Amino acid sequence: MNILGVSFDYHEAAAALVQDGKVVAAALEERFTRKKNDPSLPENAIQFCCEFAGLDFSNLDYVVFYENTQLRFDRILRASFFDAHNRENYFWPAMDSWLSRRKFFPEQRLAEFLRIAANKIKSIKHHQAHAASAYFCSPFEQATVLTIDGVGEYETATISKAVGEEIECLRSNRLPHSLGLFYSAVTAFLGFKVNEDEYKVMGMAGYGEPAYYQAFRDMFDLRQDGTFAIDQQYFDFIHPVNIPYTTALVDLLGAPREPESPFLLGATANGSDDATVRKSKHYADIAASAQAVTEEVILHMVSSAIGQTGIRDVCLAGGVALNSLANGKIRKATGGRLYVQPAAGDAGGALGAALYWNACVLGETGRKPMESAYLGKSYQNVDIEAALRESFTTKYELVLDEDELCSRVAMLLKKGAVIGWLHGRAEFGPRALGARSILANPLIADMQAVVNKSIKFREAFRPFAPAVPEEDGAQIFELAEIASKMDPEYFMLSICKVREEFRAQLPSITHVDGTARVQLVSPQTNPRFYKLLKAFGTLAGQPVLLNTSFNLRGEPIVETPLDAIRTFEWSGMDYLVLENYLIAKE
Amino acid sequence: MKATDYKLALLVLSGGGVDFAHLERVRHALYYRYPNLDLVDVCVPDAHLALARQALTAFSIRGFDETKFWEYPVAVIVLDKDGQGVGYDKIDFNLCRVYEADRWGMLRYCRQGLDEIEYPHVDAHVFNRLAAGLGNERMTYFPYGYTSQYVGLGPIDAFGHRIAGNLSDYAGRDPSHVLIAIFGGSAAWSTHTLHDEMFSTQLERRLNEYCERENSPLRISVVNLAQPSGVTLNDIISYMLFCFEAKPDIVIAHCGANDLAFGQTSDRYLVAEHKIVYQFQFERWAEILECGTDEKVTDLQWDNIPILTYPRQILEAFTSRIKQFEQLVAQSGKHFIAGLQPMIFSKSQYSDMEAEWMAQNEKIFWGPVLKNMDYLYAELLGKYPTLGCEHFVNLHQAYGKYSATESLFCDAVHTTPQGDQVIAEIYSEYIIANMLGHFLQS
Repeated sequence: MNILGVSFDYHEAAAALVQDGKVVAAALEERFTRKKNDPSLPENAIQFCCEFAGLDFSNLDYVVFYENTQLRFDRILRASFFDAHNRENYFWPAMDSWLSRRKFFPEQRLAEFLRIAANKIKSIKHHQAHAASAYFCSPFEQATVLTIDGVGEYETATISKAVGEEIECLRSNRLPHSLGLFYSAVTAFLGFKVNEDEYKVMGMAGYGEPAYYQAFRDMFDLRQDGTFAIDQQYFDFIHPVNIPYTTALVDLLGAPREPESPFLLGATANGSDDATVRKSKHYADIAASAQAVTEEVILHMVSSAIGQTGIRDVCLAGGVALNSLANGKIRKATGGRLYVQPAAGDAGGALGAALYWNACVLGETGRKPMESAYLGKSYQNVDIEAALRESFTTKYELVLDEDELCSRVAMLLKKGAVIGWLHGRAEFGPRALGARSILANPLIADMQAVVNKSIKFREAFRPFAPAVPEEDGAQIFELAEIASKMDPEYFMLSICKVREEFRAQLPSITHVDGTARVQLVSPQTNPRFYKLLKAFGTLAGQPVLLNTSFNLRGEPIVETPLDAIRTFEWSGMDYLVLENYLIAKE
Repeated sequence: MKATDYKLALLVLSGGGVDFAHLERVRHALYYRYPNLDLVDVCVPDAHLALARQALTAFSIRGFDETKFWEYPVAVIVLDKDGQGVGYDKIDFNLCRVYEADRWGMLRYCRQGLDEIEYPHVDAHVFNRLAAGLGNERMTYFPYGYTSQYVGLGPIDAFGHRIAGNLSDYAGRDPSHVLIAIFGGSAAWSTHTLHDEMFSTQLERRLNEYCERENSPLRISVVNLAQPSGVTLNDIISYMLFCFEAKPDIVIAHCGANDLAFGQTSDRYLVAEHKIVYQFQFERWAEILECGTDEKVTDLQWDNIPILTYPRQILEAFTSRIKQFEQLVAQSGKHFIAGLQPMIFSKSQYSDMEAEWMAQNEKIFWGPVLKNMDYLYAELLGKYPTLGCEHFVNLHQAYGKYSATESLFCDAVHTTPQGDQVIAEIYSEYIIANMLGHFLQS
């Protein structure tokens, strides 16, 4: 049974192929088109998935779209058509986009592209897709499933009980009461891009104190059944035209932060004027407060959900599930196991759509947990050589022996080199997990500044994540109990404390609040990356590498060797490893 | 009618809040086109008359009602800060030559046709004549042509250089007459200055003042041989074409931005293997010539141009060509200065006007190319601190001391008259300190 899941038309278009219950391939469209958060019909991703499995489109048994378009349109219509102001400012512009991009007919567009019968194209609800993406990829036989995001059709969060092949939705939150949109509104207020920069708020939160906790907390009414309501006077979630918050929020918190304005706290604040530092602290406090309340709402939902299902093991999906600070707290608070879908955002909806159809509609049993996020495309030597020729790159070596390659790269890293690393199948989801990564030595004091400034060209306050061999993790980090290789720590989805005695030693991956978003690496899922970490540990004393996504600011993670060369050339990276090719800056 | 036949012109203001200096500059620009004007009148909508009269006491100002628009063969609609003008409905465009003056005081002829008033050398040679025949479809950057360039800022020659007279007049000059030639792109050409404001004129003035002060027998002339959008490869060709008789004693390559911008958009093979950087518009020429079709196969514009090359290739191409230019000049026994031109990001802080421009245009101007420029500048100076040249003037660095109080840029690349003044100061100081002595000795 070949089932293709697809998500598109909002943001993060993606495709995923499920064969007999197993996820065999998945990719985001943005990686191929090089347009960040590309929402278009994921032709390239679909093509890749089918090619990977050796399928023609005609071999697909079902193609499942991740959303009910009619319900989504119904929401927009009801929310804005009957009021003249909203009709003018929100409804008609939305309709322009819907009509010009044929958003009414995703199933028809899929059938046309794939040239298959229309009756093979199905669709499910947005949060069903999210829930399935978490539960059916988890190692659990039964679970409490939470989905939390901005909005699906009408729903913004759901609580479900999953047993065997069934997922039963128990509760749901509906628009306008959305935790995801609340967090996005704060993201916008802090001068960042909505649906893209939410993780910057998390980074900023580390610098602040929750001074506005009560102000934010008072906006929420947390209910016994796990749902919640948000005081709408501060937000415009239903028909936001430019910004999703109202003047009431500005009255409450003061002026919003100007995009790209200086943020100077901690080490970056040295010598800065007091006014800028005070302003930065103010915005950091807002971030910390919003983060604290978000965590509280999620924990409330989780504990209430567990109370209703009686199942302590929890699955999470939806964009809010990428809030790794919150995930770390859940790990501590519930005492049960936690599985977070690595592609928790809308891209994961593609995965969930296919899995839902397979299990919940077709009743197929024998599901297979998703043990790694390496579901994308890999490249062979012939592809790399072509890219080297095409880019007129001449200074490179082919190092066929993997041990030699790892020890040479480890030595370069020890000496302070920043290295682009492309190996194996690309990751599915937003995290770089050692397949498309930029690596550096976290033992070097100013490495965070070097990578932020010269490599990634991003804000100085943003922290970097560490990768560490699984057996060494607990020695350096205060990890929650690791239950399986599908725990959030294997996918860089949970934040924990760096042990006190290692913080000074690992300044580049220790955030200002002493935390890190650790990635445990196992020899089974990424043997070469594991080997590199071990080689680095032997040389440098600690088997930890700074691991950040292989991209420049505002660009998608690299996909092809040529993308990697381009990113390498346009940044301050010193070396590039493309599989077995070691390339130096000329 | 020839330009010299026009005696009467009208400036049409949209409101009363026009700056006197701005209006003077507009009038000055008008005289560059029409040198024999006897009278330049000013009018304003009646509602603003009192305010205008109060603000501009040096001018005789009329209200619209008492202005006989039909009497003026030349009119300039002075646009306000937002680019808005008035009086269009009162002027007969068939009888009057109408211009718009923008916030920089630059005059744009409202009809795009080519004539000898706008393009005084349009009939000078075959390529200008052919370009004139193309109307608005003339090809940008075609060699020997100048018709796609700005006009009316002062003297211009048949090739679009901002010089008065002929370069050949400098041939065989007295050894005490030092000729300096400026090369570069539109920033060196100086798109937002009138002739006496551009840095080459200011440089000439400063050096001669210095010589006079010091009782030096030297006399300095500075000629501007820059071409809008020109890269160093164009400068080398221009130098060979136009300087073989005049043999300038000092050549200044005031450059950087175009080489690094067009270096990003040029063909990777040509840049990497042959150090050839070109304006991407050339690809359209090739298309017309090679494909024999009017249908556009490629439609490259700044906002959709792909970035094809890598920094090391761009920097190598640029520095190799600069070095080649230096060698070429040195072979004639002359002096060469590589000047790294400033860009808006060279400043430590933007003025309000610069910040406003950035906010409105940063993502439009030069499309994706602009955002890479500061990185390329940093890489360039990291790897080639003097561009490999004996005489190097780092204007980019020098501009770092200017902050919000000085408005030195009209956009990301082009300087204001004040910005040109800074450039002239820096070059004159360098030449005085390092080169003038040599001419005295010889």
